[in-house]
Amino acid sequence: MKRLAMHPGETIDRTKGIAFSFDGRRIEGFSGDTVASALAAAGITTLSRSFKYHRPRGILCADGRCPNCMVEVDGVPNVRACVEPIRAGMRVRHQNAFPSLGFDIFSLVDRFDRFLPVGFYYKVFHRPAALWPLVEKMLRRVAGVGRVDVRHRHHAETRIRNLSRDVVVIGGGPAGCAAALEAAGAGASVVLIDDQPALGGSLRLVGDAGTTASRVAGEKRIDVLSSTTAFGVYEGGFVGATSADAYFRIRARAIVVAAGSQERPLVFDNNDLPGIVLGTAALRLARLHGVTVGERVVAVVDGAHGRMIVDALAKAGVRITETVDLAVSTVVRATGSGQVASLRVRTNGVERELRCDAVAVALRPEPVTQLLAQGGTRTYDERIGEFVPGVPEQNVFSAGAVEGIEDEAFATASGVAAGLEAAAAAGRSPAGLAAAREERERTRTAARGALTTRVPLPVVDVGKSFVCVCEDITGKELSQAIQEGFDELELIKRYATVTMGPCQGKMCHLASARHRAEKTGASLPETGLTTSRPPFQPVTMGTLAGPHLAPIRRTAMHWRHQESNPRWTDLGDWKRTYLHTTVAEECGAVRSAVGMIDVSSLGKFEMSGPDAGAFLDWLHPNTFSDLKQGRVRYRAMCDDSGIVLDDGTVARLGPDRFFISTTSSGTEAVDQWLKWWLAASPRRVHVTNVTGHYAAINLAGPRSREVLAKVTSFDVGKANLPYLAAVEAEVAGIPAIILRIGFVGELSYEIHVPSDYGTALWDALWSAGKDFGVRAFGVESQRVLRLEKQHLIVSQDTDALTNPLEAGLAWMVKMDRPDFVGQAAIRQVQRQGPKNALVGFEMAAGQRAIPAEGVFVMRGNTPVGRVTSAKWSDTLGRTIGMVTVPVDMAKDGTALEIRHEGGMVSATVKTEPFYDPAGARLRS
Amino acid sequence: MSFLVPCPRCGPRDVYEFRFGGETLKRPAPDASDAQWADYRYLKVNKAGTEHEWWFHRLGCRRWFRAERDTVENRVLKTEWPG
Repeated sequence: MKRLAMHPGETIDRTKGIAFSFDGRRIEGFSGDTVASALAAAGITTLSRSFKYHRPRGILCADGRCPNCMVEVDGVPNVRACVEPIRAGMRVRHQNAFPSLGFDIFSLVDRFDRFLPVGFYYKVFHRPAALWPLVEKMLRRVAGVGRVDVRHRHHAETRIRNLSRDVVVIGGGPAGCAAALEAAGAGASVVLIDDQPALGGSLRLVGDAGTTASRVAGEKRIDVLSSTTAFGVYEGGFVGATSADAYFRIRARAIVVAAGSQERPLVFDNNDLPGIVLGTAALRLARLHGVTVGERVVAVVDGAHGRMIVDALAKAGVRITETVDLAVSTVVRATGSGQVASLRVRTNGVERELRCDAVAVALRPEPVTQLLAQGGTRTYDERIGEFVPGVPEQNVFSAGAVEGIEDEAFATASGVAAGLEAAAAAGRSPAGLAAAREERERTRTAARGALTTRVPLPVVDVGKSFVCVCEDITGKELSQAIQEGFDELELIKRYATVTMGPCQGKMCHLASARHRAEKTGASLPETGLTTSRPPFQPVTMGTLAGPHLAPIRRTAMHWRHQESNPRWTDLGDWKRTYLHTTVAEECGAVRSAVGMIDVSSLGKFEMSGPDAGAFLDWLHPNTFSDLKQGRVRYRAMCDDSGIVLDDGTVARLGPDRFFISTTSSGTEAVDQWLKWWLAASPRRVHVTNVTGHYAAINLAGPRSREVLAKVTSFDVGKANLPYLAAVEAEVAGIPAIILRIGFVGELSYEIHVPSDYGTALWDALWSAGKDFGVRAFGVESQRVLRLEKQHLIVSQDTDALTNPLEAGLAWMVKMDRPDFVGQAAIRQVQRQGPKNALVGFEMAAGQRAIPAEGVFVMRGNTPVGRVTSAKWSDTLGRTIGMVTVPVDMAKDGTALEIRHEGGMVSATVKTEPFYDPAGARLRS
Repeated sequence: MSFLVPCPRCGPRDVYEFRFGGETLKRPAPDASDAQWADYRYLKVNKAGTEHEWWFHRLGCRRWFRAERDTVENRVLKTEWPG
């Protein structure tokens, strides 16, 4: 047991024991423990195996930043044990070690590291090529972090929360709290984000965090998000943050970044042995969780910060056996098997071996500038030897240690000033801004004067001196990369992958910059740091995606269909019936009797106004101003590149009133398209999208007229309601628009009624149709029926390069007009001659193969075209389809060779509809 | 990408509510050359600086408007109704 005596300030409750398991072993901790602190208390020092060499790793930062303690918790990989609170019964497992943490067979890699030189994935195992798949499989097993359980639904529970505030403050230390309090005091609404479970920042480790925290808690204008990490600062005052179960999308008028500072590791041989931890990690475990990292702890310090940590550790009851000051001494190497056992240090040329079971490395912290650098710049302060925030983004402010100054008075003063500045930027008029700014500069000057310039950290390239613990990169490997010519920091990063691991450079960006500077003779400011980009902390894709909230549109008749339990299909947002019974039965009913299909998902628009006809002429290659009232006409629409965008029909219901239908999937695009052309136009046209307003049924088949006649007093006879007629009439007592059009190639009526009456219309037609053998048919049958007629479906039989002349729509194009959308492009195609054509094909009767949509049509060994649609037709007893092929092949009788399941099948071009080529049934 | 777009009707809103409609370009005359039409269709200026653009408030008032956007800072400087 490595628990210390109880002391004030600890956040564990020793009266409340909590048991969980680690690799099957029962572990007991206290309420308030993290997984890592409970394991440390139980004497477990190895928490993971490293990425490449499978070296044992233990706690390093104890602050959720480094990769060393990543474990799998209840099936979720890559959970940081040091910030994960324990819960009763939680199952924690190690990752990246086989068969166990204690004996990891892959750790052999550590001894044969010459096979994994820097940039190894560019160099080795690539020859012989035949072996690569095997090697890749093995490498994937060896390398990596965690295992994703694809069946796990954890992140389905992640909520997305959108917040909008005047000011967002990042960091709950003394500076952040001061900023939040001042901004709130000036009347601003504030959200304060802190990655710790309680406010106070560094005061939780040294000092008293309680007073500030309770002041913040008492301010009703401040919302505190604890245990929440801001991972990105973006344009427009946007901050992304995550907690265990939520993704916060925060929009603010001003942002204060008070992210504080963070210790960095020291590079020396075997610096990654378990037991070697950051000073603040040792202190965090001792102060908050009452756990000591060891019985004999050696401290390594480089100045005032380290000495303060050593004092605090001693006060908390941690036994510091020796303090090594880097001002006079050098750390040579650590030794130990699975845990540090001694530290070899050199002082004045004399080397000593210090026996220990833990080492606390307490070096001067570096400002956590990453979030500020995402949106602004970073500069090098020669005086203090530190990269500090440069010019910030508009309305982004900083405060506290993030500015490179560790000082309590400055933290408070800069927090106050930043809070007031943020409130002012958010449109408030805070009092005392000038005085606060003065106070900030006074404390800054005083603190800077007391600061020493940082002692440059040693650059080491011998032994196992790890610069980057995420990706297992040693100083030796960095030197190797530089020798190979990758001598710019950003190149080293990409080649050696240093700073590219889960910590995103938090542990290693400065050490790698130092390494590059020393080895190339450049200065540190010349070298710079690698670019900071979001996310600051890893975020799972599931968190960003949030819960699955895709909208579903159901037609008015949805529940009526559901009663007979049809097969459903998703088309865009719509739920549509795929099949009610079978293709054979449904198509048979339509061809020989009567069928009905719910076509409510069709896009529908009402267009009115004196210029409506002219506007439609403008938008289409064919014309509508000449369409007679009471008639409906096919429409296909192009853009100015002559590409077919959409098709449907236009019916003229009044002198200046048109009813337009579009494809189901094209509705939104057409809506935007119409509005765009009207946006800057003086045309007197009014367009209303009435897609959801109307339900629609297509009643089709030779008996459909008889069915319709039973439910309307309107004369539906051929003379009164001929092919391509469009009327408004009552059907089953419901005001309806009846269009005599037939996508499926039979006598057919498309009947539109207000959505509320959709089910009533369906029921009425169904009852009326019973005596005639009516069947409901679904989308799949409709696709077969329309293919028998070679009626194209835009975006299935056409693509983003198809013009009307190549889609078999030349018959509709009216070029003898001054201008219309797409005319110039179509004219160009006419001039140059169409290259391809969309035509039908059929296969020999009895040959059951159905080529997949999209497969190639071949000429010899060259693909020259592709199948756009293919179906089996019971009516015709053969496979039929459509292909787009070069024009010279688009002639009746041309033999086609089509790819099919690894082989080829033969088919014949047929340019006329397979079924009722003369259209007699349509017009009947 | 997280900037705000001040819709002339709805005020500043998240860019994800909008559809970007491309640069505002002058449509060539019907008898313009193929090259001029090709320029209009395919060649965008893609300027580093202030660009004049079309935007559509898809999840708002569903209207098209024009915007001046600084493509370097990714900031919308001005929006207005067309025409």
